[in-house]
Amino acid sequence: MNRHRVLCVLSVLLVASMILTACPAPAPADSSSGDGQQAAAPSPTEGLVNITYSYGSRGIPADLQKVEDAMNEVLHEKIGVHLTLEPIDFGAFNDKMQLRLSAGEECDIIFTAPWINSYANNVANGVLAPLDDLLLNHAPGLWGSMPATTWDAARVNGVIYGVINQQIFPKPWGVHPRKDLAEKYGLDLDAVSKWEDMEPWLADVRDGEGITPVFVAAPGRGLFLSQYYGFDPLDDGIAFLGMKADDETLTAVNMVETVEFQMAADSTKRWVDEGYMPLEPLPNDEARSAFRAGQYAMGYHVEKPGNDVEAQNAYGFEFLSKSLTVPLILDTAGATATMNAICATSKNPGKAMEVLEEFNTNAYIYNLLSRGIEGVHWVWEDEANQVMRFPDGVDGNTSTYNPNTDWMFGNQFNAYYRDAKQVGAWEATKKMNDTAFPSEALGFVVDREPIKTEIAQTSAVYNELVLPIQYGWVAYADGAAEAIEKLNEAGAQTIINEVNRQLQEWRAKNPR
Amino acid sequence: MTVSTTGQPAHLNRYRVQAYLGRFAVHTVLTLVGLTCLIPLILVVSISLSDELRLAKEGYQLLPVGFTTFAYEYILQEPGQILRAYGVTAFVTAFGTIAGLLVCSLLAWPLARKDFRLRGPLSFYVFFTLLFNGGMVPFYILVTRYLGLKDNIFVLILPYMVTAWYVLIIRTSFAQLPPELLDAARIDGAGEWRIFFRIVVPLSKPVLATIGLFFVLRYWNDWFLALLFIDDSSMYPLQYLLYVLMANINIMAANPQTTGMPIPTLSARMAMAVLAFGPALFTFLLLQKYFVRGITIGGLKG
Amino acid sequence: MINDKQLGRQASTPPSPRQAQKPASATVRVIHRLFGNQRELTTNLSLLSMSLPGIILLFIFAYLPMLGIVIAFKDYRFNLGILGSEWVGLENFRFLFGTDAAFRITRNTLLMNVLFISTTTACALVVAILMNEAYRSRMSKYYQTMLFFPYFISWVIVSYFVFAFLNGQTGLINRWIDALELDRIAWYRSPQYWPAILVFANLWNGIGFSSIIYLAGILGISPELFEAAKIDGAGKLQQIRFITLPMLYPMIIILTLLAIGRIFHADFGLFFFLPRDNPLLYSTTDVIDTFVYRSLVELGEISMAAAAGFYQSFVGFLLVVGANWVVRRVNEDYALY
Repeated sequence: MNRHRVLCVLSVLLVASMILTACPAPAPADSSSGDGQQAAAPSPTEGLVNITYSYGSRGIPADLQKVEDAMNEVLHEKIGVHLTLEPIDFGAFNDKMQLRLSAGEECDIIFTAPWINSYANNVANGVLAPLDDLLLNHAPGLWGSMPATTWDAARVNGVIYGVINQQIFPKPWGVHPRKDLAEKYGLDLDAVSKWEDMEPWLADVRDGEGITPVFVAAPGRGLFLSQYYGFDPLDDGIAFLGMKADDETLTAVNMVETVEFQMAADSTKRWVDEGYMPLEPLPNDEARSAFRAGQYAMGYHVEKPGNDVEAQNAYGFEFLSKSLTVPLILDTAGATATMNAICATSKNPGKAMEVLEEFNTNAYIYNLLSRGIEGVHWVWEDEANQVMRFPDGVDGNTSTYNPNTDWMFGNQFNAYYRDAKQVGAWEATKKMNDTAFPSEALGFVVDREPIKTEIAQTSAVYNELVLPIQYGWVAYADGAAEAIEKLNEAGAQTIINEVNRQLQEWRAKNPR
Repeated sequence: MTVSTTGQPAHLNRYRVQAYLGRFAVHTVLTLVGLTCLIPLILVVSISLSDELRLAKEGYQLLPVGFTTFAYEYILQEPGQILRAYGVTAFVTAFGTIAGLLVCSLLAWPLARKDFRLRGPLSFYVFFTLLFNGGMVPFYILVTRYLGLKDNIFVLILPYMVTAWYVLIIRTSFAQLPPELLDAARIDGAGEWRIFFRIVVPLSKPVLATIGLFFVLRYWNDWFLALLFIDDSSMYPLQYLLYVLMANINIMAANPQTTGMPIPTLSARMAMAVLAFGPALFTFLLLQKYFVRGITIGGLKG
Repeated sequence: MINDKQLGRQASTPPSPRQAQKPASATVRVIHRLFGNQRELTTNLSLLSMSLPGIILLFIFAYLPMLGIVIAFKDYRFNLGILGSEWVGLENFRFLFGTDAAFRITRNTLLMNVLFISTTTACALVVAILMNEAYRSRMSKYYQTMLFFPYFISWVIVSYFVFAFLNGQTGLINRWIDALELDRIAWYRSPQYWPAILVFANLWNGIGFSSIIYLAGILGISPELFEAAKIDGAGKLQQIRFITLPMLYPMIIILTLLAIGRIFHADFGLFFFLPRDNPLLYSTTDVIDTFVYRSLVELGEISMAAAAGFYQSFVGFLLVVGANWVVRRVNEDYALY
């Protein structure tokens, strides 16, 4: 009798809740959730179209409203749009955006990328508007600012869903050794062309300074960086998958099985065993302060133009910087690293695209958004060379508007330099972009839908068995066979077959 | 304690010695356990006041190395925001604890009553929620679209107000109350509500104080509801604000474009922990007198 | 179940004369059949009205979202919504069982939780009893406060300290080992030590929390019982064995039952941050929650995450229903429902 009652109660609940959920939802209060902020703003003038831009931010800048007003001064006139900026704290950005999108909330322009607020996921879930026609009709300048091959990178099944922010596209993996130690131990960077060439110097630094020279943060990091070894990783979410960027037959492989992976793993293992790399790396924040304290001699990362200056800013030492990646590869993930997209739920996609046109082609608007107002948040250091600085008595931390995320808002090549030493970096970067070797699969995006179970399974196996090899904890000879076998059991081959099928299908539609 | 005088039989003295040794053992064990819990806390405070560069070289110390308040200054650049967040958290904690305690104990009392006919099914109804939940997305849709509670301070309170775990603990304690007391009240003609407030609640102070403490901790420590439902930064509760600040610092530190200023990371993490638990601990110490008294008064003679 | 039997008895008592005289409508008759005579009805209605706010809140915040469980059986697409998405049967559960990790994560989750439940209960009881002994001392409140400290420190921060103790280069413990001229232990490559480390950390974190429930229970015991025992010549240990513990049984059992319901859920922070997501330690530290996180972090599949959650809840549900059945057979008063 007890059980019956339970069932009874439960079914009553169920029916009641179904009735409730079936009721038409009360219209979500004015969709754009920045009501509070809007109320404080001067009410938009009649006839303007409201567009909201949601993006990641560290905190809410104190002078957000001022910047928004300054932007609207131009936008009201020029395109009849009232723009509302909606910065969302970075720590919450991914969760909040995914929840909003999954709940079908209305939005206009959102930031999306392979690594946060996932572009692939958003496209698969149908929450982004197709942009091809919008680009042609509403943003000719933006459309013309990049070659068609670059735009192809943002295409999924032939349709563009995201506006690529121009910044560095290829990944020039290389090294940035500390200048003082390079000189002290006679490092000739010009003679270095691969990881292994660093070893004599690393040994000298290890012995002479008594430190573990290579900066690595937890959980660990190896030397296998796919573009360095000529691979296009195809999909960041499928770690073992890759394709030789110059492979005209478009054959994806399990990178763990390749000789390049083995070489990298062997070198990493040697670096760890020799004490060039830490065996048990410190957590990120501790490792960074250890770098600042002089406990490391070298980092290895994307050595884009001006990286020495950036590393100096971060760690306080002077650095040298050299890319060891030859040739540079332009692949889909690199080109689409940061994008802005328009929501499928937007009521005014055309106007939203006109806003994106301004972000990307109007240097004044772009720098307002990324640097703030001239004379208030920054002043010219050298206007001729487009170098700015903070006003006297203000720094990056005390500034009332300093988002520090140029790469998020639009064409980064329109950004003013922050340091005289960086002058020319944008031209150099653009040259890198233009001369990088386009991967045969540039523009191809994996459709994960038919293989998502296998992706989940292999990604767990990869973490467990491949990462220890990649990080140099387990020798390739000892661990690789088992790792490959387990990957295959988890469906690696199924994934490769399916991706190869998709690649051929894609090639048929997009002949070289 | 008063110690005996002379003239006691020998075996009583032996009891004394035993009791004394026993008490000594009790205090030793508790002190050891207490220190195990205390030392990490001291470390947190000390690291938050240390110079990061020296910390990186010398490792953690019980006393700050290269004493500096840089991490605090960095976090407290906008003290107004932190103060506001304290205010939000204080309101949510106070209101949530009182309301939650009331609703939970009101729900627990019928469940403890053998003459309540829905006792079985209702216990199950409560317990079931401990096991199953619909997940984040449906919860989000319900709260934002159907209840319209986004950016409403009560969204930080209502979802936790009835917690199955608490209800069932209170119920278990209620069920152990001596039935004679209730019968006596009933003969006096007291209604159920009166019995509850006049007899059950005063007799159950220990468990209510304990659950009250749990409520305080839960509301104080929560950032998840704010992550889901609060966009307006003036309504951020403390833990969420700190969570966001830390995430922002990490992003800043990882972004080499950041201007030349040093950014505290490790010490900032610890400083935030101090800011988060400091006031809670302070309140805990302040209120403990009442808390302890509540337990004692309720525990004994009813 | 005792209340059922009682109910049966009450229901079979003859209706009061007043009730018989009234020409009761059908609804009234049903109500009386459910709740018994007028007095019982009044009592029951009062009790029901007391529980109503709680019932409503649970209905809104726990039961309504539960409809979302269907997501676990659908291929959830944002633009199609919960109702519009396609049914896919058990497809979303496949990733959990597709590799031989399934056995390992299930074993680890269950084993570690059993260890957690037993050690926490035992230690919390000991600490609560000790605290009760020290209750009149001035130190008492300091002990209580100190025991609560760890609860305020997040697992992320704890992981820093654990690393400071255990790491291979500068770790404190290895330096002590050096001082004793023994062989160093590579903690972060030796999975066999981690169950003990995690049990210790869990205990350290939760002891204040758990012991205070039992302390409240002990303080709730009528002092006359202890007085009577003392007069009968019972020593401290005997008092604990024959009075304190039996009086705490209901609380122990209810807490254990509740813990069994969550036995397939692991504390993500503890298992993720302390071993630092280190692949070499997975054999003993990988649990369902960390496995699901690792599998889905790149994929962001809401449906598959929902499936994993449902699986955990469902197995926990079966276990607790079983455990409750056993408890009910032994002593009906102690049962959960």
